[in-house]
Amino acid sequence: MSTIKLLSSDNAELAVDKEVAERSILIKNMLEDVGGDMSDQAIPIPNVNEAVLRKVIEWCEHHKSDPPPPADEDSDSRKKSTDIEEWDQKFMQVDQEMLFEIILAANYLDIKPLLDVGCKTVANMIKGKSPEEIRKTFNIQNDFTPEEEDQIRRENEWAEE
Amino acid sequence: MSYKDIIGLAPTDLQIAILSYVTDPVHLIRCTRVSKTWQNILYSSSLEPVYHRIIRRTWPYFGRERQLRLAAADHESYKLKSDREILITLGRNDAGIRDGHLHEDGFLVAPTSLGRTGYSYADGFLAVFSVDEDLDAERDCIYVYDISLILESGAELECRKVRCEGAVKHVSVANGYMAWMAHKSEDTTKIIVGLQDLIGCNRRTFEATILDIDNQSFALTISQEGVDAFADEAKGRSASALWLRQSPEIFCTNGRYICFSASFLTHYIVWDIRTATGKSYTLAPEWVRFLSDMWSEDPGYKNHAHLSYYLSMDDRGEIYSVINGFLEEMDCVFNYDRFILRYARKRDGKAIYMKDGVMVPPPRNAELNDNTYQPCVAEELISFPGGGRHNLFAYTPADMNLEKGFYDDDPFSTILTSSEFDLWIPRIVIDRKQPKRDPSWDPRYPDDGVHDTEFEYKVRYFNKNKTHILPEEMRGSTTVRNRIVPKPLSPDCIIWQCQWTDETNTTEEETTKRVRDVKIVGLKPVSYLEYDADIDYDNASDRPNFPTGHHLELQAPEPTSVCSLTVDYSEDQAFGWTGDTQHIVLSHYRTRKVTSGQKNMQLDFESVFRLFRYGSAREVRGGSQVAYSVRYVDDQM
Repeated sequence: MSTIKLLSSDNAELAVDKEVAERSILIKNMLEDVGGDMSDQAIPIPNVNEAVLRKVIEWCEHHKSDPPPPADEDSDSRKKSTDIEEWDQKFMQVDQEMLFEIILAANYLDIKPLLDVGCKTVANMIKGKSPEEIRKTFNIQNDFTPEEEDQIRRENEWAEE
Repeated sequence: MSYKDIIGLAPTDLQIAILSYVTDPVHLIRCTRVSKTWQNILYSSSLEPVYHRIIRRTWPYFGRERQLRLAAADHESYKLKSDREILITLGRNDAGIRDGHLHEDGFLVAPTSLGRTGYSYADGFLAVFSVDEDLDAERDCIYVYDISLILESGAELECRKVRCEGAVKHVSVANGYMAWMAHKSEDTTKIIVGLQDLIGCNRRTFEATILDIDNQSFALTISQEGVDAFADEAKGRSASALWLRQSPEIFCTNGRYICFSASFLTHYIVWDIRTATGKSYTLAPEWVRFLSDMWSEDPGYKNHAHLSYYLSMDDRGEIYSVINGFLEEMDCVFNYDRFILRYARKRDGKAIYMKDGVMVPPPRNAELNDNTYQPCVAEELISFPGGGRHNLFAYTPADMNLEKGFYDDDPFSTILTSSEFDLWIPRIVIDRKQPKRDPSWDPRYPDDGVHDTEFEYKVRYFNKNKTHILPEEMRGSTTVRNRIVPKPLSPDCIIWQCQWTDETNTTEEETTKRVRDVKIVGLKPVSYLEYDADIDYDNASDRPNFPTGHHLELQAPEPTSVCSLTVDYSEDQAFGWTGDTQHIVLSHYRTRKVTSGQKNMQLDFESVFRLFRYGSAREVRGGSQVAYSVRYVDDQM
């Protein structure tokens, strides 16, 4: 099995199986563009630092045998469930800064299943919560004046508990 | 633990990706109040696809309607709400239905050129047409008001003037389509039947011939020669309308099929507008024989004028008919016997009886008690407005055949078991008066008593049973008509009543004027029974075992909402109401002053249609109760 090297934004060089790296459509396309031979040269991943890249590689290694995601990326069925596999749930038990970075990296590297897991994880942190609870979850400052907030509350009274 | 405002800091495409997984409209809208950044995200037009996806999933009819409207050639003539606004409107509307809140939104006045008016309302389209015999009335036009919730509120309404090839007799609106029937002006034996797509404006029409048979000979023909003399079942297809002068004419559509009956429901025709073919159906022979027996004995229908006939069609095109009345004059076993025939004819021609509390047909005719047709159990419930604007219920019958002898051979057994029977065969009953609850009554006949109260009625459905009672102080001398149960039906849903009392007032000019004080009242159920588990009907050889259940008996609660108004009233003017999940529509007439110089019809009245919307007025647009401004456009068809 051939190995390739990835160069993170903080100049760390990480060796990874080609098959694992090709979970990223971005890397897969790059390898195809250069004829598949990058054994002597690290592929720069300028938007992702070492810690995040290691997490992303960990996810790709675990899911290297997964079937490719469906072509219709906007399919309703993909949006229906926010169920997350147990392994992925544990994988996503990271602090919010890392979760955010994983989502950005998955988006940049074009790893749709990982992006989905990240988005579902954040969506699950929102669902069923009141605005106060959401603020607490993400440590968000309430920057509405009481009058402004009251106005929004009145407008959306039907959605309030 | 580090925190991060992931949504607030994410690029737009990731905000959309994350929020796409928040599929509950309530959860999504609540996010608006988190912070100004989140509010801006949720107000952003880039989130429209997220809102649209939720609408399509949560309210599929409206999702489809919006797409169809955007695809329609004339969609720029009206202003659609954004997906976010639609989601908020529908979420608020659902909450209003759930809470039983209603307010008057505004009213419109039909053109006086129509004279006396009839109407049909469904799914945000109100069709108004002339029922005036006056030849000067505009009888060949239908005015269709577009009052869909997905249009921008506050904007002027669009009204499309649809011209028909003859004098309009019947109109029925459903699923964004309007079916109509008109008499051809030059040949009264011909009728024109049309179906108009109210969004896409496509239209198809075809001509049919009226088969007008004298009432008397019709009844005799059936009793002597059977059904075949009237409609050739072997032939099957027919484009002829069956017509009996004394029969109520019932006309309805589901947006594809059009159904018509003018023969006391013994026969009806279903036209498939796409293929321009009609197919005749009859009630099962036992029922036709029973009804023709009845008419033979009473050819003038004097004793049977009180029977009411309803016919409805569900979305799949299956037909449900109801004949409702008392039979005490008909030599029944008990003089208070009554029957309610609930009868369905599936599109494949299979007949289904849906029995109600007493034997159907009544036991006077032993020949009819052969149990050929077994009742079926409801497994899916759909509420829909029936002919005469009464709410009926369709249900999908499960494939259950009860054993022969389920009712025993004794004709009394079905009468005796009426309440037990209800438990064996749970099904929907709506608009059914509830007998006074008098403990001295014979418990064997819990449903048979003096049905003189109009204030209690029962809604019964699969494994659930609930009762609505009007509070004592509201009973008075009011008259109550019709009930509207908006979908989605749930065990604790609110039922709406329209009540009124008539008064005669003296005007300043010392003339008398009749007025009608009207109240539209939302009521919660006061009695509710629900079993802890589904009744097991799988083993039809045994009586089903009933799981334990809980039964709530409550005092008659305060109405959830009361809309009161006073309208002009005259016996020769139509007064009516109808409704669905978008609106309740009240129609009445209003006197108007006529100046002597007016050239057109000198009518001293006009038809008013008041629109009520769910939710509180404050939330919606201030409850202005104003006259809508209407922009009339001629149909291009």
